[in-house]
Amino acid sequence: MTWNHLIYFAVAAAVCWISGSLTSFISRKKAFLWTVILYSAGIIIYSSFITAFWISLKRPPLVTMGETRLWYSLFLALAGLITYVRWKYKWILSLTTVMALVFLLINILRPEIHNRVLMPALQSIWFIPHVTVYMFSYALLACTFILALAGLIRPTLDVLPAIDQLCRAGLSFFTIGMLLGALWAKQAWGDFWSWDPKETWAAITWLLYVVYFHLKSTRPKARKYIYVSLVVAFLALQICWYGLKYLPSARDSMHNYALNMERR
Amino acid sequence: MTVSLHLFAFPVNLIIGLCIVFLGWKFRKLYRDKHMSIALFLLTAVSLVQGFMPAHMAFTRTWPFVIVLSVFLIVLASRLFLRFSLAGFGLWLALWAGMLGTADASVTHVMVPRHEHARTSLPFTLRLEDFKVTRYQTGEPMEYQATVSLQDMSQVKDLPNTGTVLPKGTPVNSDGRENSVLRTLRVNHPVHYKGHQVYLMDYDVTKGDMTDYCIVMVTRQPWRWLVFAGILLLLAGALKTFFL
Repeated sequence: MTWNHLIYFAVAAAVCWISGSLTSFISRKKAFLWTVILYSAGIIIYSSFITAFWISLKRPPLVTMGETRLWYSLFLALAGLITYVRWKYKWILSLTTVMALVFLLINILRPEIHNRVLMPALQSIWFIPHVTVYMFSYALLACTFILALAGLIRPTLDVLPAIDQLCRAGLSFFTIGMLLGALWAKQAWGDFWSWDPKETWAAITWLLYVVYFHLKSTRPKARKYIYVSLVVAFLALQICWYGLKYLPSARDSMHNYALNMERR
Repeated sequence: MTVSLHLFAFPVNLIIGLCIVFLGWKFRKLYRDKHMSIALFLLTAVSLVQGFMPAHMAFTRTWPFVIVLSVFLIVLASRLFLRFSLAGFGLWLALWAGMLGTADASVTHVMVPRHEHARTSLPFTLRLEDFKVTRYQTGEPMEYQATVSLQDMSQVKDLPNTGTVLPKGTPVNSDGRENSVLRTLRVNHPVHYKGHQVYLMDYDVTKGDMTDYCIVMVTRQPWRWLVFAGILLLLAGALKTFFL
């Protein structure tokens, strides 16, 4: 099994995931079962590629950039299915499908990253959970941002219940990603938390989402403030995610792996 | 404005920590949502200051930041006394132990040479025995492996046959070898030795395998288990929020 076979598995999995996402919007009893069957089938097809790839490589496919991207898609689909089964959110599967397919497409369209190597600093069992959990939380929090904007523009819309569920899941995942990072940092850099710019902005983002929960429980009537808090928190998240690059104060971040190639 | 950490070494930090708990207990009926809002706002504000400042200026080690964090810990403690939550307590414990433990923590960068033991202020010395760079086919590094011998200095002085006091960094005699151990350092795989953690940081990249030295970071964090416990509790709290 090689990278060349990926496209067949990817197409088959994509068909299953997309049709599963579509059936999830049908409000009939049997549609739920069909969604679960279709989506699981996609996951099984996709993970069988990873398994076969692993066996033929004779090592876990965790080393190059392309190989780690493989896992993003798997975890996203898996997380989407779990959330769907547990809470029956209809929108979740289309969201995770799109994100999983984006990572799959990157792997198919940009074969040069298949062999781009992972430097020693990133070779850790923490790497994949740390990044995928964050990616998932970013996706959920992006939904709250869109809903909050909708609520600001049209005050008659009642988006708060949806925001609440999304934000609980999103902040839980964000917290988990941050703490996995802290545990990893102790192993790699010697301390759980060292106020590296990325860490600082993760803390700011985290605190701003906590502010949202605080506002929601103490002043449930102040809808406008609640929406604004979500918008501000999402802006901080953008700085934390990629905006740091443009911040002069963050040039010496240890998270800047492109610059620190030979350092570790 | 920077806090002089040595003033807060054990037991001063523990006493301050207990004061935080005591104040939290004393004000448990006084503090309301309003106070929590103010504390949250202040902590966000000082974090933002650090966020816009270059990291090396270490605003988080200055008095304004430490005072705000302490206030936050007192208010959070008072809220937890009234209504306990797993995630809240985890966060509190991690921040509390993280802040107070900094005073007892130490970080030492040591240049470990190949042929002699490094001179350090640590209770042990290090010598580089072997260094190996494994490369991908593309030539980029895949793994660094430094084999280092660690020797406990506290026991060397007790050797009967030395007569004179051994200066630090003296090559080890045959008796001394018994309390030296070989350990392999890799990135992401620190070595634990005598309450210290040893991390591989750097080497002479121009020489590769033939490097004459490697640079290690040696940390000591006696409070790390409390921070670790706090992180695990907060992790459990986050999972609980998600699943329940």
